[in-house]
Amino acid sequence: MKNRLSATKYIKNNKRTCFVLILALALTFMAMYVIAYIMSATVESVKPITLELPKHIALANVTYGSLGVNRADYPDQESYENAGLQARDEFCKRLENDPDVEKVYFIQTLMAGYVGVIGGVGFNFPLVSPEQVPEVLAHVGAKLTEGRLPADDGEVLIDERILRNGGMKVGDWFQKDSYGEVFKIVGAIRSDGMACAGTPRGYYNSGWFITVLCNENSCDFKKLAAKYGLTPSEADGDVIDDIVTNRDLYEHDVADSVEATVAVIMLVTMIFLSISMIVAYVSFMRNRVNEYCLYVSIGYSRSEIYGMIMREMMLMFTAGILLGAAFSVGCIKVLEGIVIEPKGLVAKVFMKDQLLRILGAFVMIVGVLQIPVIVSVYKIKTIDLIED
Amino acid sequence: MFEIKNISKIYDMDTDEKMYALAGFDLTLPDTGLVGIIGPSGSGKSTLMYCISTLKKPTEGSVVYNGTDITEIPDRAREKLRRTEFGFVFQKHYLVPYMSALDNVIVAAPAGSNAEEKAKEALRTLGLKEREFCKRPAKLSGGQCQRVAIARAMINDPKVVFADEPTASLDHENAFNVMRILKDYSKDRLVLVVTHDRSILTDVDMMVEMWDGMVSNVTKGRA
Repeated sequence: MKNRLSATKYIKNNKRTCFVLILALALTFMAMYVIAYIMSATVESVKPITLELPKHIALANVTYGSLGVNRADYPDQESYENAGLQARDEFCKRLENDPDVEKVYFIQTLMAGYVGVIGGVGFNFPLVSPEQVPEVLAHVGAKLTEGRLPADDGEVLIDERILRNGGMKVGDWFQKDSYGEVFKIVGAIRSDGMACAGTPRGYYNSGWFITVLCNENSCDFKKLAAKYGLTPSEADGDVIDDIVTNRDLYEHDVADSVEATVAVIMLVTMIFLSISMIVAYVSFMRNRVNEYCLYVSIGYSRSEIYGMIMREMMLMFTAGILLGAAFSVGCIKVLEGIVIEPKGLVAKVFMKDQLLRILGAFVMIVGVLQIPVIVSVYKIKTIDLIED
Repeated sequence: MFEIKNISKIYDMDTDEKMYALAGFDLTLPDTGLVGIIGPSGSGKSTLMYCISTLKKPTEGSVVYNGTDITEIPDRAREKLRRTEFGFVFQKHYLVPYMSALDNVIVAAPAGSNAEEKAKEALRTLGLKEREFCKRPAKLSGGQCQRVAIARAMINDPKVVFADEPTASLDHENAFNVMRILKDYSKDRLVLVVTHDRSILTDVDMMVEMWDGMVSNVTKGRA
């Protein structure tokens, strides 16, 4: 027989109690989603620097030993160094002749820092002569959006987002706290890989590098070098900053650690929510013992009562999820306006995986709530037993 | 309608001091009429009513209702019986506190029926005013609550109404009103009223007197 135990009656008539429960669920949903959103700002923001830019520029600092020049083969330091320089120049020329390489420079570089919401990355950008700046910009697809190109020593072009991120503007000294008043920002540029470029001043730099203006076929430096008989290795002191090392940095140091942080936060949130929901549900059901006893006494089965409790729970969870989604959108809009956009960061608004994770977590909580619900349903007595 | 044979209910079965709430007796109840079950506290009258109404299972004996021993039927069938053929009025009204008077009646209505209209009609018949239909139990007087409970017991048009001390929390006037309503209903139905107050059983068709777990006297006709 169809029953008349309505799931909406309790909710309609106990709006305050139910709203507290729905609000708790909504806030949990929002916390889980917004934390993932904030974390995604770190992952998404460094993506261009770690996955896009290295497709266009590969840097390497190769030791003389790796170039086949060993100190033991030379009578003095000077002849050894000359041989090393010659070997490196020849290697650069060979690389430049590769059909997938546009240009190779042996130049100074400068490090730009980019801070995400949690953590950040630093990357080296080339310091070339003023004449070479346009060809670097053209190679990385960067466009000048403000200011001018470098015309003198110590002038740099910085990506718009990095400028915002560092609270800098055209005309400022570039990362004054690190480099002092050495590099002047003369222009802002925009590119997919957040490239930067500039001209050197003296020996203020973050290293000398063989800088390869490469493409997707030549951006793996070890592979490229191997074509020309060289096997550079970090173990031998060679420094490589190419697509492979950057992809590794992105996957292991950024994405994985952020994912692990999100997972831990979700787990902790879920444990707290589960415990508080169980406590709330136990008291929620205890308050309704007489009601359930009445239903059994007038002929409803325990499974019908269980069905009503579950329908009520589902309605409240659905309302909590919808309200949580609305709260999340609102919170994300606020964060976008006050943190993400002004800091030159990028974050993912729609995260399907995170949504599925949250829904999965809620399903698990519903599962955990079966314990107090089933125990309570099992304990329902008929009214004669209460009166006994 | 009810053939009760050798019924006994023993509490504390596992202990040495067994308590016989019902000590083994036979009783036959008619198809219609107002039946009063009276006795002092602890005489077993409520236990008898609960055993007849399937809310309790007797330790021994049988309760044959319309040819079926309802002590032997499965839980599902017992629930169905309580839902479709029996109505209950408890000592405390046991109204659902967050529901209106009307919803408290509708909750016991069979599906598919025009429950709202029937519930309103029942409440009207029992003397509740329209404006009281949407009030919650906390806003109703004790007498009004008990009338709502009676309307709930009658909404499924039961063949038997079980009323356990239905007037216990009422003043004299309300108590007699409730008894009048039950008497009216018993014209073509069976109404069992358990009480220790002999004064409300002036108009019963059958009186069952209980003492110490046994039926001590059965009187038919007006008391």
